[in-house]
Amino acid sequence: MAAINQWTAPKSWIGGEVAKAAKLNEQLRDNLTWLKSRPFVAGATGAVTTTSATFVTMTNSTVNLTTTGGYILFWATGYYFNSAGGLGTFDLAIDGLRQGHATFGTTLLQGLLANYNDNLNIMMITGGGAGGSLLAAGAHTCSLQWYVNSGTGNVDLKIFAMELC
Amino acid sequence: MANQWQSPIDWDAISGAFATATHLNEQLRNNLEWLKSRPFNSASLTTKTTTSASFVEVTESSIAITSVGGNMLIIANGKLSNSAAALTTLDLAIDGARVGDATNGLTRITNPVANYMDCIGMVWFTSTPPSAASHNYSIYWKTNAGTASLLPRLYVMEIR
Repeated sequence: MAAINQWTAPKSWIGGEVAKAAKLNEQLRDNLTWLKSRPFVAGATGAVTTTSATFVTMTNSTVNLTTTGGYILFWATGYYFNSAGGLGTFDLAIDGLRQGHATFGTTLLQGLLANYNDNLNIMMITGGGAGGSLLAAGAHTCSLQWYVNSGTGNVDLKIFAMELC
Repeated sequence: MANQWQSPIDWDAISGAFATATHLNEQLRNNLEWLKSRPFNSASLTTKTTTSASFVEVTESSIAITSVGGNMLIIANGKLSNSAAALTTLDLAIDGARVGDATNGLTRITNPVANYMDCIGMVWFTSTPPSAASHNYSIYWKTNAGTASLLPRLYVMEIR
């Protein structure tokens, strides 16, 4: 059985060409296996905090994914609260390059009240490269970055990343 | 047709090296159809309530899906309110086994005032896939005061 991450660009078959086992393994077996088992990684931050007023990498949020150069579905789900009801701002970074807005990141949550819990989802389908270009095939690092405008921000997030196509 | 995934074969092992119609139907037709029409189920519920202080399954939230042993994508979303200013905690479960934290579930919301409505969204990818069989997927929840109300939708798909 082929391992994942063995996608080979589908070839153009020509008239009279004999489909030999090696080509069928490459074109059918390995590519079907890749489509069934696309690159995937999961992680969990556990309960982590920050008081940073500028974007910093969230503790335990880094996951590694080896891709074939396609689009990545990234999703983090969990909750956020702040000891002072402060605003938390969150973003996804791929290979250290944040994907969202320079100030507002991908999403933000206002604490409203001290220690008020709110549902947090951070999601993106991204090429990951500068200007939205696709990432090169290879190993990449996905991580979350965040900051707060006051108090101590608290999260507990589950993280998933998968190459879609 | 979904649920007919066949493990891709090693073509070196095919006697005579010719692909027969059986091979092509199994390896191409069935597997391409499976990739196009992966196992999927969903539920759109009416408003449910609970006063339970310990995790219980959201009424009628359990849906079954037969998978071939791959990773499952589970998504739940909806609106949440509470008759009191209270903390409501939510989780997803597979065959009754919750996937989130023992106490904090997957997510939680503090309703700052009575009947304050908020949105919820939970996503779970099974990094350890369920076995190739039928499994039940559901939403669990609890509240520390008042009556929590939830209008949820649940979606499950075998995604890889």
